[in-house]
Amino acid sequence: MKKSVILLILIVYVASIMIVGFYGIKIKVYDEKIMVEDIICENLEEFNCVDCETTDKESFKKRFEEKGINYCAMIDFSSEYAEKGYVFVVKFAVLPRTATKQGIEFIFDSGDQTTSSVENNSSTTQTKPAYTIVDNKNGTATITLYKKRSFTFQVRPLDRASNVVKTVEIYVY
Amino acid sequence: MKIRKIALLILTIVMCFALALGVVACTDTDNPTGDSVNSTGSTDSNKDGSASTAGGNSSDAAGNNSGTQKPEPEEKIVVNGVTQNNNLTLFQTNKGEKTDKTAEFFDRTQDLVVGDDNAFVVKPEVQFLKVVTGSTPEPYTPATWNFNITVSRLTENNTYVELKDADLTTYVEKIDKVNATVDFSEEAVGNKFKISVCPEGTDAEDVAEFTKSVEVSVVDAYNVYTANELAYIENGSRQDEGRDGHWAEFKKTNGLTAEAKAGIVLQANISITKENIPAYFVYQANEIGENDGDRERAVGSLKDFESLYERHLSGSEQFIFNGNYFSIDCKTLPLVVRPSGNIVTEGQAYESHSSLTMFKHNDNGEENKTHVEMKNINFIGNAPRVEDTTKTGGIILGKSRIETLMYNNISNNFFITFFPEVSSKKYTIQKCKSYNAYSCFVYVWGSNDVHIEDSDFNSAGGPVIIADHVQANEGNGIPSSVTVKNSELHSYVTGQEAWFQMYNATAISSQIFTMNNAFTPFGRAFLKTRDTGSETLQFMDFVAFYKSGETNGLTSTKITGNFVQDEGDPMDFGTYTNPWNGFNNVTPNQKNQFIEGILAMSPEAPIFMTSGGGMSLLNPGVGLMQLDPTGTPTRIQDPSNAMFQGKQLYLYYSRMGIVLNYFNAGETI
Repeated sequence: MKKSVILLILIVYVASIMIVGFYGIKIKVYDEKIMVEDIICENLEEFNCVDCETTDKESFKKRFEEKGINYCAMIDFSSEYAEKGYVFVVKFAVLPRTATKQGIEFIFDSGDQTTSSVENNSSTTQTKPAYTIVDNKNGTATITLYKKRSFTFQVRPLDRASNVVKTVEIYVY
Repeated sequence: MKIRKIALLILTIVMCFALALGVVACTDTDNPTGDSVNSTGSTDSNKDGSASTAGGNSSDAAGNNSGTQKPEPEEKIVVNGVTQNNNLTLFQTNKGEKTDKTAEFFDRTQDLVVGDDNAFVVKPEVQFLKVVTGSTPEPYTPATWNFNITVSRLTENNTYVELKDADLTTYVEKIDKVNATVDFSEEAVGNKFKISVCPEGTDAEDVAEFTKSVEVSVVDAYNVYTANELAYIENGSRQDEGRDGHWAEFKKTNGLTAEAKAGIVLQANISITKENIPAYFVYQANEIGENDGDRERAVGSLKDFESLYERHLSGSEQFIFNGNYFSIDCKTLPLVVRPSGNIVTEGQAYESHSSLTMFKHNDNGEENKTHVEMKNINFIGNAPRVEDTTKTGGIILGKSRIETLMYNNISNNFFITFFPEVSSKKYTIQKCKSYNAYSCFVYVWGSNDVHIEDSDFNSAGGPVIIADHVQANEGNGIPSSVTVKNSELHSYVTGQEAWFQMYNATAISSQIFTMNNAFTPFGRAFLKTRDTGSETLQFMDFVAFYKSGETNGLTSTKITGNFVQDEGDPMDFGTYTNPWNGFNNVTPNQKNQFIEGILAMSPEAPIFMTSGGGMSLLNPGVGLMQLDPTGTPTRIQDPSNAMFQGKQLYLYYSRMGIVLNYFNAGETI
């Protein structure tokens, strides 16, 4: 083999090491998944809700500091709503907005929402639940209140690769 | 002058009066913490459980009464709502059906399990309101509140009977009315109970609505609510390795005085940070040289070759880790920056070895009858399949050297998920889902009885399985064997992922991709394509990689190992037993001579087998060659040949074994 060829091979070899050492080998991952980092409530004002972590109101802040409650809403319930119910919508979103899985799940005690039967002497009266929550499967849930009863629910991403859970208290007075 | 004196006097009187009013006002209403209200309300009056309903005047507009207390004439504390304990609600939701099946546990039938080693919390979420006449009510957080708790046992008649008197003391060690906890006795183990809890002071008509119940099965275990309590996995058995003192000190500092002899049960989602493990596991500033080039990255990073929670078992001891469908989140645990303690260039891919858990035995051979189970847990790691090479220092989920059952777990984002290590004991992965691993899902390090059943793995940076023949150069060494049943194992890779750089396998993967052309004329392929609009990408579905354990990278050391999936012909890499036995009536000796003869001339000569029973040598200039009954290599031309049958394609290449899923030609992804 000619000296020039050997020299060329050596130069290419050394240059390759230097280039790879400096720039590294290109790594490419297709279908990379962007994880959910957080969940936020997007319509706090619409249902008189505060972020307990950032609010200045001491009684709400205490709910976060001592009970880990993330959001508190205060709903002034009028008796006129007792029949048809007071309806409002809560809206949550995952962060970052580019997360691969955008789905959100509302977690609540379904036992609270069943219509109960109360026996009075010989008759049976159907009693409405205090509230109902319907997960609209689009980051929103429709909540209907039937009486002055406070409750808690939780929100989390459908993505099991995220451990984020937000707790919401709805105070109805 | 006189007028000025009078004015001064009047001003003084007014100021004194104003001051007095201010003091009175502060005494009445300044209650930033609510404690003064509580001292006359929730705490004291509630101790006897009688005063909290005293008010009885909280009828609302809808005619609903709530339990009330009347600590001050001007204000009252109202029990305005009771919701089931958040963790208990979460348990029910976690085990529920999901539209996204990657988030749904395979087995959704498991009971809520409670350990008998410590108290179980049933405290519901109670919404108290402080109602002041003329003001908007505010949330109220009492210092304490009492709860009425009843415990019923499921009898042989399949009905719950409330425990009282002697029965109660038989099954329950303690009921804490303030913290709303139940501590079961050893007698309770194996029984099912229903626990009902209601805040004291609830009006009679609200008791049914405010009473929250939960059904539980009691086992011999410790209930874990915090990341620090995971320390109980570690049982102080590493004194011989000089590391035990760190956990002992950690437990002492954090008041962890209990012991989990038989297992632990999660009762909440847990996130583990470096504050939840001994500082020993993380490089401190004084352990890193002032002038080390990686000092900034290394301080605070995880040390390599460590097992955070390590437990040694003896005789026939068992350890059961039941997650109750809750999560263990390791997302923020630091990464390994110094593999094997060495300084590496930033951006370089390497292989880390530290694991979250490790189970070992104190006895060898037949004496070792130990067993560990990790089940019903959602694991979240710190090394997803991304282009960020720092994740190459991610944590491994679970190493084990004893009989192991990983059952009904979901895991995401681990560097490596399952890691059976140098063991002849059975390691079973059953009903597990695992996704998005930076390296692989199963690393079999010299373990010859590994089973993957009814499971679903998808998206690793490399293969689904890496199986090492440990000590391949020393006699028989310790080969690895994997049996797969009724499972979906997929990892679509292009060969450009960090794993290929980590193993110096980028060039070899490119060579393998070109071999696909030998199959497509016969209607089969091991590559799928994707048209992005600007380019056509090729992916192979990389199931397993069998190699020598002597290095992390590729070697041409002869290895043995076994892989079989479902009813397909098994692959015995290196022993020439399967799938060659009975193939074209060629004797094992002929096959041995043929293969060894080829490999002697060209160690990288690719030899393909299929789970359909085919075998061939790829001659790049000719095509796929097989041995005829006389032992003569001939070109395969029949599309019905066993080389084009089966679901898996095996490649014996450079004395390593590769398992790929085998498709029809032209499939896209």
